[in-house]
Amino acid sequence: MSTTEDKTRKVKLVTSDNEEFEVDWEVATRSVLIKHMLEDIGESEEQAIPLPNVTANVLKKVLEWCEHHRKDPEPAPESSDDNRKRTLEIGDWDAKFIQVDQEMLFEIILAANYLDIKALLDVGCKTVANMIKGKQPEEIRKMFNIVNDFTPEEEAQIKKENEWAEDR
Amino acid sequence: MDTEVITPDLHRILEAQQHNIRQPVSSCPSEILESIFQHLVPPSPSDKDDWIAQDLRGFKQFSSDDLIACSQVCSLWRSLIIHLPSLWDKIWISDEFGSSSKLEMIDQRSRERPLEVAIFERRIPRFGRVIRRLRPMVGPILSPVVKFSLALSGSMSRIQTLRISSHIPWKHSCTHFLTFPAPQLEYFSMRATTEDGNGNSVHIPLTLFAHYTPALKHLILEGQLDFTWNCPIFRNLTTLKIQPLLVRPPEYGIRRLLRLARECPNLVALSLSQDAFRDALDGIEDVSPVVRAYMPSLDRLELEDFDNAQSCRRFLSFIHAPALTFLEISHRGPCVDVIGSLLPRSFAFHSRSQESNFVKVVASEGRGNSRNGIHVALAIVSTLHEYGDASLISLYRQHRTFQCQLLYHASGSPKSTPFLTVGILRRLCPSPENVEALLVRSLEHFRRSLPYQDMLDYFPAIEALEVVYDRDNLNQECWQLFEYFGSMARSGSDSLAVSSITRITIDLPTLPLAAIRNLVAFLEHQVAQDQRISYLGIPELMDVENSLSTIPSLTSLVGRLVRVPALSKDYDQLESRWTDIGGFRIL
Repeated sequence: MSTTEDKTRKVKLVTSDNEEFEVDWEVATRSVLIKHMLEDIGESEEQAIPLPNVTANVLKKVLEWCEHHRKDPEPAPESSDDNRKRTLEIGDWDAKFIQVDQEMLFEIILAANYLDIKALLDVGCKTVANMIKGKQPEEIRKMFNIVNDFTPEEEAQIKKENEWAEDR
Repeated sequence: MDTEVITPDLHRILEAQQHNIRQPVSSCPSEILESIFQHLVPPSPSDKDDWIAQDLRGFKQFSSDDLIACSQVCSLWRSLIIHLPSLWDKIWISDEFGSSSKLEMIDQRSRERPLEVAIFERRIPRFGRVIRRLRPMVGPILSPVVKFSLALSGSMSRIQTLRISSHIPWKHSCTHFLTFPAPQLEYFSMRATTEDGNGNSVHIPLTLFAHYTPALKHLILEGQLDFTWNCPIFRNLTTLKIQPLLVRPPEYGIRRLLRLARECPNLVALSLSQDAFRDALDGIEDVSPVVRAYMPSLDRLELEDFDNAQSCRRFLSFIHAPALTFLEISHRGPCVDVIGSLLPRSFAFHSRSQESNFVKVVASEGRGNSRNGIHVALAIVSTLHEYGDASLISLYRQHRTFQCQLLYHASGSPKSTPFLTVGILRRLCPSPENVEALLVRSLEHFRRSLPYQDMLDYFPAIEALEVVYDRDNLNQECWQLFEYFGSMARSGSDSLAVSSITRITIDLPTLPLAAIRNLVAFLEHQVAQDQRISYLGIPELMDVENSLSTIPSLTSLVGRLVRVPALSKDYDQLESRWTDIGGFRIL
């Protein structure tokens, strides 16, 4: 539970390329990882939190998201029903936020995963899923610049699967 | 030392893998890729209530085809996807699904996971029979139900949800899978309509699921189903919906129905429609009251499209449902008298503190939800004690508030049909002194005069009054309300029937000067009686602006004057506006 004192507190974050960010405690603690680290170091305000897996340009973007969602309620713990209720809908602001090039998109996803920001990770995964939806394998390969690396056996199996899909 | 021979294929594969590993998407660890793929899993069939209404295109979007496409992108994705059973446990099968081999493939990939399956058989189009006869010459064709039967009969022990919608008459052999035990089945829904219109029903085996469905909670049967009730699969049901279609309804019979009610002690929601209901009621006169069914858990009861109100009421008298909080009765046919007979003075539900009792009567002359007509809502603040008998059509909520709704579809009604009489009001609300808010809404083309005087006389304790007519409805009858106001004020009586009113919201298509003068007379009278109206909402209309400029005193006669924006025609928006409109909350 955050206190009033916490909300006015500043947090220093240091990226892998040694850039320092000073942000509000409320913004930084959207990340469960940072929140736990802050709990570990206690009241020491001067101590910067090292984030060796995140570069400055990605952290900047992630903090933009955290700033916008700073007042959001804490995400509910995962339940077994989570899979049932998945949708591909993304809020307007998030959809605009995530309109970045593919490299940055996956960097954000990785950073969200590392920093343990479930809601941001979800936005990233949904965005990729939306990119895939309705496309044929070749179109997906082209989109992600992937090439076919199947063995002849796998190719034969895939051919069969496609025949099954065509049959009525 | 062994030497490995690099074949051209292996060389190509290694090169391709080297290329792929350098791409941004490959930076994702497998758990993130899994999370992405999880978003491509079709929804659970038990979550999609409107799935039958989906057209085939809509239905297709629920398929596993995106996952199959992903499994054919590269070897990394493939190995991840095909070894994740949770991606494959929801199966939507339509005519466009593909062969039963594809179904077997999905089944294998789901491993031991409980399966959720929806099957949708499209109505055969014109010339469909010809196409169907020719199809064996050009390729295999099997109905989705048959594909399911071929591929998944052996997996019935894993089926958790099974929803079938079919337009094709089944052969007995097709439904063989319905005779297998289904120990994990929680949700079974079946809708069958045969296209020949000759009353051919789909036969459901006597030994449905070998009488072994210990987990079955939800059973929904719709259409032309030939079904026997003496089946022990109902014991643990919490939801039962029976909606046979018109052609040849199965014979349920009142005794079967009541026995069913007794055999489902855990039933929380029961929905019966027209034909099931009508047939059931055929023998109702012979049923002894001794066979009254006690349904201790029943919370929600829906009786749809019945056409015999008397029998309906009789049926209701045969069940004892002390926990009932929602009763919806929809009726077709000329209805005002029926509403009257349907609404006894006391309906004897026990309303318990902090729970809802909601009874909604929908009376319509056509099928479907025609939106025109008059919508009268009575918000009743109850002073009933705990466990006291709730008045009919009531919604018991926190703060001891009841809400009554009567949706009256007036389209096509001859003017001679009595509308809302005091008699009906009395049945709706036997304790009018408890009503604190009255909301009257007229939608679209309603041309009838409402008995405002009767209504306001009947409810002596109304504090908040809201009258809303659609802005396109040029019905002038609503001005009668103002004439009534004016006449009451002019009579100089200090015991006005409307003296308790402190808040008024009026949203009418037009408000002529004469009506406003009557309103002003009423407001002046209230001021003289030291009962100033604290809130007045009037429409944002040009003619109102003009009229107001001639009556500058209006603002000084009320506590707060508010301009009401145009009423939305969207019925759902109306419903949402219902709760908080014009400065007072009805609930």
